[in-house]
Amino acid sequence: MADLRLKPLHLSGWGRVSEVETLAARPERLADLRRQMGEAGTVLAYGLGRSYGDAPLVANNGRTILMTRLNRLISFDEATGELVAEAGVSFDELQRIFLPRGWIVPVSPGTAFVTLGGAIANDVHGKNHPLAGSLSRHIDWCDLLLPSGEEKRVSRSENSDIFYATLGGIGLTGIIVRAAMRLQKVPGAMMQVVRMRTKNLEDTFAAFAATSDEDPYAVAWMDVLAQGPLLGRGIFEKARPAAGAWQDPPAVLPMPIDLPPFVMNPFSISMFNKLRYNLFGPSEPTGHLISTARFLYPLDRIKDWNRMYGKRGFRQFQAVIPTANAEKGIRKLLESIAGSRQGSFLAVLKKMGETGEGYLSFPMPGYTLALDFPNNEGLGELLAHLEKVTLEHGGRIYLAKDSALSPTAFRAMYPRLGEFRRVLSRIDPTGRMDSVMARRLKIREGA
Amino acid sequence: MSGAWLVLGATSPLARAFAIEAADHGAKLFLAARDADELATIAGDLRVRSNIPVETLAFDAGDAASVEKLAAWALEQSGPVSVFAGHGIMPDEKDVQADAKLAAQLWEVNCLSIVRLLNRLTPKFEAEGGSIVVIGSVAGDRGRKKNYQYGASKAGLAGYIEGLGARLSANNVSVLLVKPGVMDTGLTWGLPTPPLPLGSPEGLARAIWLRTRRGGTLYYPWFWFFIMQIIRQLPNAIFNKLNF
Repeated sequence: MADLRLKPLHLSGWGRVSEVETLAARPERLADLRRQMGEAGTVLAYGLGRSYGDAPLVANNGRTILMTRLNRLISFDEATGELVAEAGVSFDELQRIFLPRGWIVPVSPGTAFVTLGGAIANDVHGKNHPLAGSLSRHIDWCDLLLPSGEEKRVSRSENSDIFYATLGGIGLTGIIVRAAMRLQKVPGAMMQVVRMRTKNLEDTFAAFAATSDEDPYAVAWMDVLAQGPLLGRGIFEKARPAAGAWQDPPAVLPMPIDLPPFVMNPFSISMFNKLRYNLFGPSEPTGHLISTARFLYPLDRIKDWNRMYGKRGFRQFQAVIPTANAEKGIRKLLESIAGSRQGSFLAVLKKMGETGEGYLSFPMPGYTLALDFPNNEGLGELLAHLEKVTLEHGGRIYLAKDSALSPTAFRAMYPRLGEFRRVLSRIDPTGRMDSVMARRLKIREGA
Repeated sequence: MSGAWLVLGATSPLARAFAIEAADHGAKLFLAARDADELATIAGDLRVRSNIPVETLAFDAGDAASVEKLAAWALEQSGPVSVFAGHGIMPDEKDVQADAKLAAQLWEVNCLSIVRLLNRLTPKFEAEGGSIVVIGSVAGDRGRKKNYQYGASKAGLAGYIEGLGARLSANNVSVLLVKPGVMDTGLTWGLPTPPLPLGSPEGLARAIWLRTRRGGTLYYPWFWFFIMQIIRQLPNAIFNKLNF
């Protein structure tokens, strides 16, 4: 039967380090999705594959269900901004459709190439977390296809424990079929941005502290190889939505080859950071108007930018340190990295507000640091050390980026794991929703 | 061009992509398909996405009475109604050979349904104009041992559409026969495909929209034109030995 045909695929996380061979289905109709779930065996949904590590990779030689063709919009309420859409729709499509009409996706990660389902499963956050919270705050309900094949609506008032398990639950509660998300009204498709250089970490933190609610978006790009008194220097940007018509974004630049490994080395990365700091970091705060898409998704301009890291790939590290220890903890992380031989190309610092609603939600009030590392020898050691530093300061690591976290640290970082496990043992007693990450972190063991 | 479009097989990815493209250009859409639930979902998506009026109609290409009902509906509409035929089935070739009913259904759905409908609508096109777009296939260009049952139904369709196009050119009606090569849809998912880039439904829809005014034959992606020229010219001594 056409609808049950599977294709052998080689899937990897965005970092191209974690990989899996799987048989994949790509249903184009809901009936086909239900039929796929109805087939016995281990299964996991897959969206656009932007998680960096092994979260989207099915375990146990299971089947992968690619969700991108189930991307239809069901309804949009102009009065409340509530959009109901199938889980396979991408944020890129949503922004293109709704920004010209004066509505924005309320919380967006650094790339628009994520599916609604994937975004919910990772409870993504953006540069506007202190004011907007994470995506879960804006999700009213999900229609979930459970491991049993049953379909249930889950929300804060209906099957709420399943709802909180699904938010940030990395696909382990079943497959999200469609969800209701409240869009946010904006004056236009532009952002009024103020950008400035910060001299060191203290300066960077001061810039965040000085940002008012008038500028919901704030982010610092830091020079990770700067040492000593320069540690934590970078380029700080804050922004607010502004009037201005939608412009079709410039054509995406292709990245057709894998760069050879010597291109991304500590020397070249250091040069790049210095150049960027000096060329693009204005010494005085300067304001400019930029399209919302370009401000939110700077890397999306280059298709397959992950290929810049070549065949060996890269690994991401992202942790949040709670407010009380934030400056100390971030400093310690930066010192560890600057002292290691691992170079990081992209280091991003963001302030965070309230704790996420999901049992495995990542955000907590504090500051979050995200870094890319080429997958070189010795990286594993550094990541283990960074995990230790994070734990010591009461922080936690973001599963959407992770490929190295140890099960013991994971348990310590996610205190609501017990509640998550209880839901799983009820709705998925045989554990058929299973991922390489779930096994690595021993998510199900010891319910 | 941004008039009324009747889209047959609207639940197929190619037809849906075309409907989205047409909606972006302000067309008024009438979507016809067999699966009522899927059709409702697709229509709903178009309404939210493009803010245009969308209506749905039941249509079972395998049922002559259903085709006649649709023809009658189209004739009642005031003003030109352009037609996009994107429906079709591709059953397993062995099954078609073994089962006469399936063979009849294959021809009914892929070829006869369109012949029936357009025969009824020809006078309306002659009088009021409009456009016609029909999805054929490169498989119709030459019968291959691996898919001649399916290919033949598309070849028959091609002959009809080419002739109809010649006739209606006098009335300023553009008729476009689309011949997709291998496309990236559920139809080909999991099947062995040649080491060539697969066409995307969105790319096809854009290419069709650009050609709708001109009519003629459109191979998509473009390189299939050259591939089929070569395949058509191969002498049997060589062609019959190929195993694709």
